[in-house]
Amino acid sequence: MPADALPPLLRQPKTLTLMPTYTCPAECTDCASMSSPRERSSIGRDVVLDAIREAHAIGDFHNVVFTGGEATLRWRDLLDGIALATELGFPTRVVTNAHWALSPRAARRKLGALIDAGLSEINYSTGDEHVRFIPLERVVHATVAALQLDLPLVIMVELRAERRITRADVEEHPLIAALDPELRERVRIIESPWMPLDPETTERYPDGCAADRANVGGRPGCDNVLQTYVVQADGRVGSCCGIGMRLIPELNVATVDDPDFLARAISESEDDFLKLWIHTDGPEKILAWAAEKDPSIDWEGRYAHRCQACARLYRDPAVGRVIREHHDEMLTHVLQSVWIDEHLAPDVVRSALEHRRRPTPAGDGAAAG
Amino acid sequence: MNDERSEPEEGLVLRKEEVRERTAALFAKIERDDAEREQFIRNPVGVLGREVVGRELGEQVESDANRLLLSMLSNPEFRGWLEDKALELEERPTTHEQFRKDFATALVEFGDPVLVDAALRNVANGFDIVGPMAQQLITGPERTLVTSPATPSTSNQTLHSSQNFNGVAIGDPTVIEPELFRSVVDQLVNQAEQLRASGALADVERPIR
Repeated sequence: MPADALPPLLRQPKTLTLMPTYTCPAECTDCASMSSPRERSSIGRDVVLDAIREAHAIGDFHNVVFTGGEATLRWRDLLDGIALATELGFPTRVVTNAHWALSPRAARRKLGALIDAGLSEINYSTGDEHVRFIPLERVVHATVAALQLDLPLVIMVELRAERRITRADVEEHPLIAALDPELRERVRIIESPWMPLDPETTERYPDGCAADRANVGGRPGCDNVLQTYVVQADGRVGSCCGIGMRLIPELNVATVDDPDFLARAISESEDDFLKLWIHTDGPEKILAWAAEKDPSIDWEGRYAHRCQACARLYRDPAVGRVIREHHDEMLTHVLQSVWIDEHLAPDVVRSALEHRRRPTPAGDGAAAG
Repeated sequence: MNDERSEPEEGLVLRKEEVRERTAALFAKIERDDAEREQFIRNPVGVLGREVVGRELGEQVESDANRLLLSMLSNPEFRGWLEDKALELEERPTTHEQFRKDFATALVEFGDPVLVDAALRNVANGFDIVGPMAQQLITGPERTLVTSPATPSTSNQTLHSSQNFNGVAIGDPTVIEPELFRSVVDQLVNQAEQLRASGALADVERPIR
């Protein structure tokens, strides 16, 4: 970090996400990173390694994620990146569509190499969009291999109101169903809304998914903006890993050509009150607040995925106008929330944990009760 | 949505370098000085006006959720609950949803009496049993299927969407995420406000569905 740089306002550990390429064997409609086989943007191995080294030097980063595009298409660079991150003490994660798991044997071989490099955990993406290009069987092969090799995994399944592929299709696949119950229990599957990139388009979701006045209170702050810094395949550095980030210039805060590009990205991002506000309150609450000022802003029932609500903040001039004119009245709330989330509450939690871990006066090493 | 939609003429960035710098300094001061901290808790508008923006602040949005959470975090009984929970989580990791429910129950039990009694306990009385009520307030009737896109994973190595290229982490299941506190309290306050607005809070005999 440059000597004159301010310390980060947010203390919670950050994630470094690396997108070595936008190229992907799949071409899902509304892909978060707009990846496809025709996309050829990529960053060099040196950029990948520099970013990891800078994250380590800054000291506020706690893990490194490799994604894309399909990061496994840059196989050698991926292995080198994982190895360096591991050497520097970072847990690592790869997000992949498992296109490489052509057979059980191929899946074990590929995963074995990733584990040998130091990989800590893996995420597989599937669902109606993905299976148009990558058969579900490959995710199943990759899942079985991860279980056999004791690699923690999560499977993400696309969620829409009507869809063909569901969690059950994975859980009940014969190769998964045949596993020992103990192994099966370790398959963690998460279904999550698949959103249109355009905030004007409304997807259909199961009841209760989309934000409205009744449930907006339960939508927390965005734990991604200002927490995740993404070195993208086109060389831009983003301050969240939000969907459609390529379409929202404000979320891109530095480029890899800048000196100390991660430190610069943090500093640029934390200087922006709107990003702090999104971090503490989340885009849905900001939309609800804006709609109180300007009732023509119609938001309820439209957004199940918060990244689409966030895109609305940035792309709807009416919302932007309200934010520009009235954001000052949120200053106290946002800064106090930052203090609670980043300073006070972690201290209370830490102190509770330390108190519990303190040896008893008898010195038997048991936790105090 | 407005028909005049188009790309904004200029980026929506609310640049406030000086706010960041002074806020960081204020937080450092609060950390060192208990009196300053108390003052900030009691009067955030005044302290931020004086220390951060250098002028009296105009009208500010009051945050019931923050006030309630601050009262909890300074409450010895709640801290005791947190210690118990920390120990329990070390022995038996739980899900985020379960933690939200447990936290809400603790909130109703240990939260600031003025705020909680005014808003939540009356609601809870409508159901007689605090736990299920708190749970109901948090999840809504059969609502939070799957991962709400806003639901963090089991650690603060987050992300949640199949469409979101950062993926989701497995992480350390014993981590208690502070930001979760505020979202739970926020939801409780939001629900209570809606019930109050509907008149349900005024009539504790009235069943709340």
